[in-house]
Amino acid sequence: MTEHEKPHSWKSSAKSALNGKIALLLFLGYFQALYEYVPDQHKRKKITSYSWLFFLSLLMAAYYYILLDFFSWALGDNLFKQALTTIVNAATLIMISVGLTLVTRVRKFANFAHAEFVTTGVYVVIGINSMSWARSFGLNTIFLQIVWAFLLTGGIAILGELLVFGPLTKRDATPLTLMVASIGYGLVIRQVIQEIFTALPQQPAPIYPSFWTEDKILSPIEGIPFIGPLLAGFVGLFVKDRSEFSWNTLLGYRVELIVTRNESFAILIMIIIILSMRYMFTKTTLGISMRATADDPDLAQISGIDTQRVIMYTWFIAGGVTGVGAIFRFEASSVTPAAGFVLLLLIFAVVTLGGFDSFEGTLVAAFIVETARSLTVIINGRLALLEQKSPLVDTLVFWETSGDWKAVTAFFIIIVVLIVRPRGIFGLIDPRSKL
Amino acid sequence: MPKKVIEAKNIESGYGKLQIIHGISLELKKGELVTIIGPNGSGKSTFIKTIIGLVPAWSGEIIINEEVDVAGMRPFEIINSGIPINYVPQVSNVFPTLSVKENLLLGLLANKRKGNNGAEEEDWERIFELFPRLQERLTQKAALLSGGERQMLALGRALMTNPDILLLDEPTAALAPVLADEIFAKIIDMKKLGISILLVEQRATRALRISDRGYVFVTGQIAFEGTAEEILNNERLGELYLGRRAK
Repeated sequence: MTEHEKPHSWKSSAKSALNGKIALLLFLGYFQALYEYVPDQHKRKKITSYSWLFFLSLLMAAYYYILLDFFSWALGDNLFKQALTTIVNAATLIMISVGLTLVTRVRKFANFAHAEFVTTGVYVVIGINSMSWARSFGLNTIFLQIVWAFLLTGGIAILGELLVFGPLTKRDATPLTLMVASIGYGLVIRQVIQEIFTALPQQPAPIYPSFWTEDKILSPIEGIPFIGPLLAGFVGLFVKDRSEFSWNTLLGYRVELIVTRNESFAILIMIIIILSMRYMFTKTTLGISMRATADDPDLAQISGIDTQRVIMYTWFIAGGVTGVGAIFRFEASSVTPAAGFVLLLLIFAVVTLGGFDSFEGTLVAAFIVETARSLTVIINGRLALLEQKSPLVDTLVFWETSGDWKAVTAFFIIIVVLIVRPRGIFGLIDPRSKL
Repeated sequence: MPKKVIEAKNIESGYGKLQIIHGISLELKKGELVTIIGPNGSGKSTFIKTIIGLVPAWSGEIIINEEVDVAGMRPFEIINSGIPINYVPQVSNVFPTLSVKENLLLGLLANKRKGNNGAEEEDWERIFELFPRLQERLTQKAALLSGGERQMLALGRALMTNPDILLLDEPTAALAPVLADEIFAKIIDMKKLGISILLVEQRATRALRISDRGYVFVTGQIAFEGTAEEILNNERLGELYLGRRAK
């Protein structure tokens, strides 16, 4: 046995104890420095709370890493792959759900046409990819695809308010009426899409511009002293078609992980969308006006807010973000005009679980739902294996161990959470007190 | 003779097809505090909402500052066109999910939209001087405020728009007597700042004691109008609306 294979020798444990002390000192020193160099109390409070959030998420990440490590080792299966898929799925689910949160909050009805906003986003990309003139001008590259999807889906959403929901509200329609009308509007969108693109499955592939190649972008970055390789590895996530990673975990399990460019982009765009929406909601006049309109349209008008215009912006942003999210949700699969509709229940589930008036809630809920879904798939797979091996398990587990249980688990969790907390995870307003 | 800041002529309005206000004419002069009293359902709140445009006027004129007729204008149009008027509703008069600061900021933004730039610091200071408790709760969500604080925030939000005319719809409703006293004191403070106030109140006697004039509404019409003393001393009105026993 060589020296480094014995992790619990006195030398290394002393060393790790020292490392721990250094880490603790750094940790405390950070807050001490904050105290010394940030005299403004409010600012310090803010930085402190964000720092705690950062440290806590680091801790959570470490905790998940250890969990994944243990179960990968115990099951002899690479769960890191599933974890990555879960994160990417959650990211895309957040993008296509957050628009519904926004609309529900401001317009106060369940917009079933939201599913077709997802479909619209995907088919905008399919449409642009199929146009030869757009291709020849390079209008179908990923960044422009995002812009097109945002503008057109946002436009479709505004059109709904202009033609259907606005006139209905003016005539004192109830939320239930508006909901039924939204189903109708959704059906119209879906049928129009089907007329244009047919019902055959098609692929909405994100296309990257021709200058977006490894040697042109990565080579200069690698040349940067010291941080070059690390930086190139990070940028490579967004440049290379697929980045491969492999490392040994704490329990000595060999992990091989492939991250595709689309997956990296999905996570990046999600972060950009969430951060910019957060900024808009808390810092800009438009955002505060939106929240004011959501809280109380009459009072908003008295405060000089043109609520009609704010509602239009809300639809545009909600639709746009949904369209962008849709590109990444379906980047690896072929879609039909019913693609969005299939996701509708999942989206509603996420929004309900998160609480109708909270972006943070949508974020957390999407992770919970996607984790529940992939865990179900994993457990089902295990059960299927056990069934093959042991006749006892086969008789005990009488159901078909197919992946279809994933929706059931997700909704089961949602029901349990809502029984305990009817307003959703982060919902501020208790629905019982409001309605 | 002081300027008429509100002159409503023959207003008729209501919800949907239901007429609530049947031809009401009312005046508010500069610097005055005028109280509207009356039984439930007499159209006090509806009348005030008609002035600010939340309920569309069916007919009649609402002339502000002897210049503009605002009948038919929507609330944000009135506020943004630079007419220095604002309104504090009876219920849901603050934005519950917004912080106290954001609530006040919305008032300030409305003021800016009118083109009154600058003097931001002064506006904040004036509010904090009048309602010192709001300064302590600046970052809290309005939903977490107590009833009295919430009412003060509502007044503060309206004051941030720098109004010359303020319409108050039962600012002391659902408040404990001590808190109601506090609100009445603030209303007197605001009057001293030179703001003309049209007040709707259920605590009629208390309100009339600090008012210059009063109107009594019954079923969407004016049943009586006169100085505050006249209403307070009128025996029949006292029996009917001020909770005084008949002799």
